[in-house]
Amino acid sequence: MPNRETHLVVVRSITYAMKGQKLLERYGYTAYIERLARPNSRQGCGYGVRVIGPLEGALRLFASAGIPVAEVQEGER
Amino acid sequence: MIYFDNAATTFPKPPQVGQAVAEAFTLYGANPGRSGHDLSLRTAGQVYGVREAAAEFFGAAGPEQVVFTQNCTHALNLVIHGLLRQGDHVVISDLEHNSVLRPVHTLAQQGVITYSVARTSREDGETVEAFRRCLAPNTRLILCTHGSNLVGWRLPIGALAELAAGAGVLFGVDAAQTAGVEPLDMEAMGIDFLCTAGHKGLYGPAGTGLLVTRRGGLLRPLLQGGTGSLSADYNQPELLPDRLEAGTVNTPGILGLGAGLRFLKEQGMEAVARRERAVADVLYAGLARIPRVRLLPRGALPVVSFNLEGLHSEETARLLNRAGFALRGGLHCAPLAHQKFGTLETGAVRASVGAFNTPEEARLLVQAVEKAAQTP
Repeated sequence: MPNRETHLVVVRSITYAMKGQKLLERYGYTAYIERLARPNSRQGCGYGVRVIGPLEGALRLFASAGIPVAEVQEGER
Repeated sequence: MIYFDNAATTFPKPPQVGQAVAEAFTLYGANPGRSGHDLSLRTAGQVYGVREAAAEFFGAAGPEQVVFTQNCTHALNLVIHGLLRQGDHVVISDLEHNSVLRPVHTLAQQGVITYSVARTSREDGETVEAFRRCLAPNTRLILCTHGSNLVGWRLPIGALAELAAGAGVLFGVDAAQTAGVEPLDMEAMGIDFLCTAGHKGLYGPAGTGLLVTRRGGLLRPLLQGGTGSLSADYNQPELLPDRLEAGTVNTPGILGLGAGLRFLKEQGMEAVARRERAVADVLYAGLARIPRVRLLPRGALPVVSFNLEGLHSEETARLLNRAGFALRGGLHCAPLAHQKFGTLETGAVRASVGAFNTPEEARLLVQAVEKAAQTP
């Protein structure tokens, strides 16, 4: 059964969200950009990349491309 | 009207540029990077695509190193005012446009920095040596044009980047006249700050420019404001491009610029530049045969500047305008270069070639200059 694990990887700008989404898609992930639905009051509004698939691999790809990750939120879309 | 003022801004633009601008109004009209609805994300995707294309075009390490600006002057001011601090020294060339000279001179007048002007030569080695002689222990930046907007001389920026790196100095390039004409690879050439217009050799609309930089973290922003990110923080974000892109970006201009980049990719930048040089060759050879014409020494770029003996350049430009040719007279915002070539009093008439000029148009211009030369 395919892994349907989903996480929202919060990044610090729309540019990094776009970069992250494209990178993940190149590696076979399904990934979408989302506006943060529940931004925390410390950070304020922003964007995340919804990652469908193994999180660890996605975070490794982000790190290798120099995409800073602010936080990871678990949960359904 | 036959247009030979492409160094000021290219005209006409490729049809796809206008189409892309129109699409920004009809298909991508939302604010990119501000909202979460589909139209905003689609628009942001288009803007990001141009960022990627520009990064690839200039050999930058990533799209986040591309900052959209209003024009090249804006990009240069981001570097000059954003980087330099009290006591710094800067080296510029004697071919600089006022977009470099004025902000540098302003900081010097305010007692913030000092600057030196390196004397350029047609011999690359002599030019590099002149820059070397200008270096001082407190030099923080070498900032120079890649190509003169007056005579089309091209500076050896690869060698100058090496000089800067060897001296522990940052290196910035004003590529207003060369982006889209000469190959530029930031990483390979060792350029820290590349500033250019979007509306010249890149064939984008007016109101577009680029700062491409691997050292953006060193720059204090000229503007602070909304970025659509980290909004709870009272401080401007540290990350590029947001740090230097406060406020809503120029989506129509950026999408038009993207179409300009695609045009160059489809046509082949080198093929376009070759055609332009061929037109400039016809022009130079034709003008050189007119006894009253005084040509300025020509460089590698498709720019030919001249005067008609006894006439101010603005008078000659006016005569040519009446004959149906668009050329620029005066000082071209480059007083240092005019001083160098002895044309500060008269200015010069500049014919600058673009992708859509033809050898036949150059021949017609030569005929018109010949006729103007008969004016008493």
